[in-house]
Amino acid sequence: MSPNAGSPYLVFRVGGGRFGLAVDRVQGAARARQIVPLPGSPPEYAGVTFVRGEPLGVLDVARALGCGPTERDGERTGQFLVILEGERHALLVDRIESVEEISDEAGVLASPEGGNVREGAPGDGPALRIVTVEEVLGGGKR
Amino acid sequence: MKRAGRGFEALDRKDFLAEMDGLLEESRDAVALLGKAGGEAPAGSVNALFRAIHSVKGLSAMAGFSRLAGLAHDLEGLLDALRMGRIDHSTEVLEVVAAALEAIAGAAARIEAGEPDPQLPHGASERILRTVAAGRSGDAAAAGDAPRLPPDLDRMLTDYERHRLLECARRGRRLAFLTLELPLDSFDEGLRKAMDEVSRSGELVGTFPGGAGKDPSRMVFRLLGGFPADLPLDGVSSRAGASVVEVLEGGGREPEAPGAVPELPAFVPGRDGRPSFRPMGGTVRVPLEKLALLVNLTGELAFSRWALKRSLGKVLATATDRAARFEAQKAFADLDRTVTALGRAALATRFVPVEQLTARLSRVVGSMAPSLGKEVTFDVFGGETEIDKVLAEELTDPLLHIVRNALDHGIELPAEREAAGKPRAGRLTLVVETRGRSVAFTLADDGRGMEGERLVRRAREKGLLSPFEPDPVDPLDLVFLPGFSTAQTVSAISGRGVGLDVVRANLAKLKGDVRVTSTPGKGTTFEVQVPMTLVLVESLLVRAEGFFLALPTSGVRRAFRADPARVERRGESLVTEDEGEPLPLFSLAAHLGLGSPGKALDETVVVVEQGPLRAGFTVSSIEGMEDVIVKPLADVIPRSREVTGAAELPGGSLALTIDAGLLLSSALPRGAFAGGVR
Repeated sequence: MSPNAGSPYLVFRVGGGRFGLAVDRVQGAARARQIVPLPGSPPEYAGVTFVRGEPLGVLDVARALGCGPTERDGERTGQFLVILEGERHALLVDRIESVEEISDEAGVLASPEGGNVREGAPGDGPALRIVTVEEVLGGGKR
Repeated sequence: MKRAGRGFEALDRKDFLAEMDGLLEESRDAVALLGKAGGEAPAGSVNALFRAIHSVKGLSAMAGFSRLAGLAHDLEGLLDALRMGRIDHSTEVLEVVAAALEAIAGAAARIEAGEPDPQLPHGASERILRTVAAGRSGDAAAAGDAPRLPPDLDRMLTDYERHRLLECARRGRRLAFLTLELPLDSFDEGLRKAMDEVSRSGELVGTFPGGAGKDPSRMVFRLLGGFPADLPLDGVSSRAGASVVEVLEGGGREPEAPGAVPELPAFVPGRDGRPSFRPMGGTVRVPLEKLALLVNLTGELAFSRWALKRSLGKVLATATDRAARFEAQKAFADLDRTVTALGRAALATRFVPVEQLTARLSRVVGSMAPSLGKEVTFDVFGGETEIDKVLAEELTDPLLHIVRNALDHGIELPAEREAAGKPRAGRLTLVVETRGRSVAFTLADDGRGMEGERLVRRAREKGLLSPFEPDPVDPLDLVFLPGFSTAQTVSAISGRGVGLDVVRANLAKLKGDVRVTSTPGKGTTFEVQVPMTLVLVESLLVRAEGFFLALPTSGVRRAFRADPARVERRGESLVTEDEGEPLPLFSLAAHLGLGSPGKALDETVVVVEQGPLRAGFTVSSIEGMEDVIVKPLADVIPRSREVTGAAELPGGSLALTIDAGLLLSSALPRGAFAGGVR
């Protein structure tokens, strides 16, 4: 990494938005398989799934962050899980795009939805919104 | 101070102690069996003990613990004399063996504490050597005619096999060869089955290669067995799959009267002065992390199978080549069976029945009660519950401590009990049960119990409660204070004020707790509860609105098909009749908030019962019974409280596991429906 390379972020898409999550909070990513709804859980929770033999609560990022219609509104295929480091949760996203080094010098704008939007972040498509694990999980615990 | 040898640097201390712990466990099991055996020492138990001590010797020598290796060597000599009939199986001999095992266990504990080459109790080896020296020379069984063996097989016999052969003859057993011709590709399975059958019916003396058979695709083996004289050998032969049975001359003679073996003056070691046993390995120790990985990977494999099945279904739906379609389906069915079997086998490696743990407690009761001059019966209920091996290991010390405490302080001496109108023998009862996401161990004694006032007084005397502090709300909780003890004297077992605080601290590390209740004069109950890391629960699998749910069978009374004409509404509730009593009915899916509300009740009713609570829950279908691994859900995952965990099913589906007690208590609010309470 060059001195000005910035920090690595996992970039994923949910609905019409692009999001970045610091990779040091990510253990891995996997294609979502069986997710069983959990009785009594808030609507942001998609349910529970097993990842490497352990049950993880699955938080639907689209619902937690209120991202509007998602690419998942049709058949529930092609979804991915972002498995969080040290948490008993995984995040349900539509697509994993890449891991990008985002320069700390990129302009930071306040996003109307909360979080930070980095202008000049690499990749095509809409502006990248940087989110934190606490922000997403907080959305699920509202 | 002498450092442990170079070997120990290569051999991890943790591995050494784990291996030693397992060997001591095997040894104690074998001693317990020998203790129950009465007159004759069962050859299998003596051999198991000999093998374990042989391994203790090798392990200790490799790690550089020369004193320990020396003691194990002496003990091995004694066991060799026992199995070769040079000394008799007696209580005295077993006491010597048990004392030596305790010396080895004590040394292992000091190694764990960091001692480089621990000292052994004074005279430990001398007592063993004296016992061996008091035995006979030569082979006690050699008196009388030896059965005649074919010369080629005679040359193959080890000293031990020869001894067992002579011993069988001496006891009037019928000696016979069973010849097996087994297919090359599965001979191990057939051989194992035949060996088991011979061992079950009599004694397996030896297994020998049988030379070339007529059919090159088959292997020939000969098993030499000693059987009760009146046992029909054709039945044994048929069950073992043998093609030929040959009865040996010289076997089956009249058994010698007990004590007919002549006493000989002194012990003479075997030909080379060493035991003649050839070590055999029956188990392999594997680090738990590797087992966890194996279990998890098989879970992943089950999911991949599920994904493959889905994709294959789509592809085959449009495939026109019928032969290829059939082949693909057959290949998938084979894979399906193998993955299911692999999953079960992998899971089995992680679980142990609780009785492995309770057996240790039982042994402690058996050895400690007489040393305290007490008579105690120990009953265990629920020992078949299977829990994660890691949890079982972590729970051993806390439970051992509570058992020792009950024996030392709780249960009275026989005379004291009789004076109090109690039976001479005290009773210690352990109940193991799963409770939702936890496993509970309830250990109750019927001893003298504890008085709250006395505990408070003692705590004040010891300065654990200041004069200005009010009496605690629950005085019994004082027993968990560091340094607390009501014992008037310090014994080797307790009374040093070190213990129950450590028990609570150790349980806290497992996110568990211990509670105590007591009635003076009646007894004390300790209840240990710890969350399960993993637990294998026999469950009734049901489908409700498309969801798989697993109900522990311990909470299910029965299932039946409801007659809609006999379901009536009483107030807010639906009720049917079951076994002559009103049974409140609920839709399991609707009650849990799954599926569409307002849907008509299904007709399949599962009657869930716990204590006085009982209700029927309707489900779409019953899928069968399975032992499922329940993985508790983390507290941070929000859900209804009835959902305690999740389980991966052999077919790759997921099931939510439901706690029967919590399901009933949420469905039947107190007093809301009298029909749900028996």
